[in-house]
Amino acid sequence: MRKIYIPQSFAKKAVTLCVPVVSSLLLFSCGSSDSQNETEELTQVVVEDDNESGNYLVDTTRFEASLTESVTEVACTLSNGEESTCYSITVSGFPSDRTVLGPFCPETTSTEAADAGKWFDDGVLYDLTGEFITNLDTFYGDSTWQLYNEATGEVNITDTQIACEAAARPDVAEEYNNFCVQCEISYYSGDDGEGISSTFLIPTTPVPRDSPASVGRDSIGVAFNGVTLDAAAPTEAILGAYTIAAFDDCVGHVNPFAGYHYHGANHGEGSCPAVAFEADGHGGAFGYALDGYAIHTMLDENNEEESDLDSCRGHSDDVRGYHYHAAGPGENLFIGCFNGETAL
Amino acid sequence: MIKLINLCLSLFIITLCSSKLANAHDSHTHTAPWQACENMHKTEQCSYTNGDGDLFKGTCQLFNEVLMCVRNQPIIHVEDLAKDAQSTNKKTHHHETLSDNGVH
Repeated sequence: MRKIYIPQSFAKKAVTLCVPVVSSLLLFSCGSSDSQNETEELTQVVVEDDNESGNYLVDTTRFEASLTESVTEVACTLSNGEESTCYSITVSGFPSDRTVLGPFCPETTSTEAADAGKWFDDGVLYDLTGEFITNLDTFYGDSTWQLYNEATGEVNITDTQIACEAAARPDVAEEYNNFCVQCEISYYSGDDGEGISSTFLIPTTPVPRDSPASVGRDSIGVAFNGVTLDAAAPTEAILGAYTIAAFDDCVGHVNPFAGYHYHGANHGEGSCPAVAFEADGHGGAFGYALDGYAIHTMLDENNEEESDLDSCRGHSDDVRGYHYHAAGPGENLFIGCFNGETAL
Repeated sequence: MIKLINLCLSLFIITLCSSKLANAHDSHTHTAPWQACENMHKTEQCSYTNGDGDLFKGTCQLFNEVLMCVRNQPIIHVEDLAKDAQSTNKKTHHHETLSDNGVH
């Protein structure tokens, strides 16, 4: 089981994680760690509601369908050095609101959107159709792009675990240049089901920061359905090797460390389940950032965005307190920074 | 003379819009959010045009030690940009017509 902590400690964690596993970082390794969890369980914790200050308690019941073990309250140290209490939330890693993942890469140059996944570029989420694959050379203005067999129309897909892992790393083997990269979750399933289980430490009550903290290379939060919300995908490295790290309709894909994880929020399109709007029409919450503030959908029921978001993409209201709104599905991020303290 | 300036202004705006539309389909750099924050500081305001020609406005934020433009304002869609440009053009034209007629 992996333990996931806050972004600030990423550098140390990245080494801890990656060295024993492979000789170099995998291309999609954005949010995983095996570093030691030094927290200890508490037998009794009194948590006071802090609604008056706009810091609403984290509601762990939202994770019920995705848990592999009960949520516990544990002692934790926050990024400001204060001792506090956090929820230890262990999720399965497989989206509880779906039964299958994908589709990711199109099989042929004639594959339509319904049978293919997605790719994003400069803020736009594209259907990764066969036609899109065919036109990559024009799209990126580079004739080296050739992800398909001209004679058969078949798309080059990493269809084995070896191929997936060889292509999903910075030093992509030359034979996997010009491949659509696709890893199956079955390669990394644990004994108890699909996906890679992860544990997140989230403050029981968010603690506002004096100034926002930057996002690192690590995960920024977790969705209620048990899927990790990862930091930005390293598109420069991916495209530099003439590969496409295909997403499914939920802007998620699989890597050996994080299993299935998201790089954007695209609820309600294709095979990606929608998130219900709140009773007042506000965009619905679909997860928590690691600082304990909820992350809501970008749009409200009128298909409109909030116009008063701060630089972290958050704002406050009387109903929800402070919370974030996810960026668009093609923007390769969820939030801009952390406005609350995270657990060390 | 004023009509000539107005004509030039109209051509400039049309060219600007056409250029943005063309760029939406000709140039996919995959680096626009990062390029928007080149030579800038954290929290500085930034903007970039996405692959559809929509305008993204936000602030530069650090992601893994690299500045990236994080949008925090609603997307300004390319259709609205074109409308704004037309509206600006009309206002300018109207104002200059009144000026031509000696109305201030």
